Amino acid sequence: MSSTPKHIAIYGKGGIGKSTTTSNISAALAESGRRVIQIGCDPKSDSTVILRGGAELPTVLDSLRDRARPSLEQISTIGFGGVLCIEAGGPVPGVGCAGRGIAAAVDLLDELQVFEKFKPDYVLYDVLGDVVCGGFAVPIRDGIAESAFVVASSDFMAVFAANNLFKAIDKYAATGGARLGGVIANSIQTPYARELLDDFAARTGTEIVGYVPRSQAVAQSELYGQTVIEAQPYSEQAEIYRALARRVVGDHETRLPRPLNGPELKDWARSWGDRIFGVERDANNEARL
Amino acid sequence: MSRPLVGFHDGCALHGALATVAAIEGVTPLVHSTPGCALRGAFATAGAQGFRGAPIHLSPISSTNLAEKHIVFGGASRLREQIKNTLSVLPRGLLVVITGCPTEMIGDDVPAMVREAVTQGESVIDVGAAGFLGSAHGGYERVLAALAARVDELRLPAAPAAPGLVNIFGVVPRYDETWASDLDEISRLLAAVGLVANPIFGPGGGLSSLAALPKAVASLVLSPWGLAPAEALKAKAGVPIVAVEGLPVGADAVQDLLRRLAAATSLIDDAAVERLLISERRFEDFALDETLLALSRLGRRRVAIAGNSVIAGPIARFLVTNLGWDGRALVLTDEPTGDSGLSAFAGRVISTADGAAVKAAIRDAEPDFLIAGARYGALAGELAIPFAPIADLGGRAALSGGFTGARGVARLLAALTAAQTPVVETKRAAARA
Repeated sequence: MSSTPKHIAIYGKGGIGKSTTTSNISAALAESGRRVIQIGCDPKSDSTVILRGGAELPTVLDSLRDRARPSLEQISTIGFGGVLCIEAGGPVPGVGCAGRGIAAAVDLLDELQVFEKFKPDYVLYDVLGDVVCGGFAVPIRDGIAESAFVVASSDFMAVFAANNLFKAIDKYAATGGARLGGVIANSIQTPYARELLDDFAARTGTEIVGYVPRSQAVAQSELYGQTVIEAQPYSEQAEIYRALARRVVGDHETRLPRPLNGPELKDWARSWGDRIFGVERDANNEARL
Repeated sequence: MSRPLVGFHDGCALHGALATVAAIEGVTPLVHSTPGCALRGAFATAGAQGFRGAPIHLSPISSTNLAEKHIVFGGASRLREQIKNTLSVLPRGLLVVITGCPTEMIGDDVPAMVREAVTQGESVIDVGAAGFLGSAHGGYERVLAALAARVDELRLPAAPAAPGLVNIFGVVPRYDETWASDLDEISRLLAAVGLVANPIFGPGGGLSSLAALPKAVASLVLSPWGLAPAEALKAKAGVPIVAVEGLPVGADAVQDLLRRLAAATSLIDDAAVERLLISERRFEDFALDETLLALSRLGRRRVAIAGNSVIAGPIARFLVTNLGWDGRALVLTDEPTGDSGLSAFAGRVISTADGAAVKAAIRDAEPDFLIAGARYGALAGELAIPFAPIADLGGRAALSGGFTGARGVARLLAALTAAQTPVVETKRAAARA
């Protein structure tokens, strides 16, 4: 591998399955012999929990509380397959500034020379979703991640969050920020979900890099505090994550997305509403007949 | 196209709030922000000329001096600690917590910390004065509006009965540079007609003047910045508002002010008003007579005036109405909102706190006389016109300056007749070489 690690940011709205997806990608890369760091950039601090079997991990920002300079060992732990797990941490809900927390944590990791010391092949940032303020955009700004992916489902709010990330990428790309790798379609279970995300990707000039179906294997593995790669390595779902991991870290075309503006997004959603519920209505009518 | 502000006239809301609080005896400011806010605020409270370079220590203003961890995790508990520490050093009086930009941005629950101290029997109030909320004059407005609206919650010692008490609002300590002498002269004028001024700041004010606010028979509002506290008191205690356009410069303006006050309260002694006005007119006439020769030498001037609205407008009105001068431009450097109603006294009325825009407005007016802060002396030299400084004068202006009443006119006439055309240094040096 090259001596400079590849930094990749994975965004997505809360609860969409970013941490599960990111952890499975990390696990798949580790399994194939790569050195990986996964950094959770979410005040909930649960990004790497299924990589480390639920073991306690002090966050980077915990060390800020006592103004002490921590060692790398104090703020990281080795998880499945040797993945170095780090959680940025942050304030409890409702106080302080989580956005500044992410910026401060990234600064501190830089000061601690984490990447120089661990010499990873890949660094994955798992970032909380909507890019609501500058702090959450830190991983895609100049000199950090070179490409960003967004995890989305066919849920409108997930698409909305993806569209916001596209806006942030467009803003920072001009000054050397990350480019868009693509969209990871997650929790695909209805027939229209795939089509809807394909259409969104086409409209915004991007592509779907992987379709992850809703799977019991994921739910079961998580209950045991493990990734699918670790708990059910021979499952179909594990293969899907391996393929996704290859795609995410592989050489692929990165691009500048064309986010939809407010009215465009609303019209787009409405047209899909008509299609989906039109289909259901027709089905109901047929059933009645 | 945006460009940087040059020679900005006003500080930020936090600085104005700090200057306001610090000018009330018995009231202690506590800045809830990062260290620079209280530090820079300390320079600002030293007046417009206060900045003399960075000191090697932090300011003596109580401050939570937030570090990054407080921004990330919230600074409310740091504030709780600082309130306790401050009160242990300064146990009496009122503590005013002034919140700066970072704490307003992260949404610290400051009211909860203040309530906690209040339930423990302390006298504490909070005022949101993030710098991004506006100018120093806006900070004054926020502090006084909060004090007026919440005066009952402040646990202040009861104010003694004061019949004929009049609250004075709209003169901002430090930022309106002649504040102390103007408040003193207003107090003297009101006393002469049987009223008692409540100037809040300086030797005539203090902690007891806050408790007295709702007991006043009227609130005299001298600039738009004083309207919010007056309205709070009107809503709370029915104190009527008497708003005038700036400080009364000259006997005519004094007469107008007293007439409006008399209409709002029934406590003014008409005979005393007559006596005062006669005495003011005599004083003003004497000053005019004494400077008549010098004034006639000056002639009818095309004047440009730049200053805060509490004083610049009234000076323009006096020069145009009483001396017959030609008001070319009036620049209001505190940027008051709303219609100033001053267009009758100047060809152009401009509202800007940006020094470069002030200069441009003065140049455009093609004046042959300039009345402005001392910082514009060089411009007068460049334009080769006489210059009378009315601000940037250092501490003495607060104590012995001021343009209120007939005495203010005397000082104004002295400044006009002493005005000289500044010599531009570079030209002189070039001539010598």
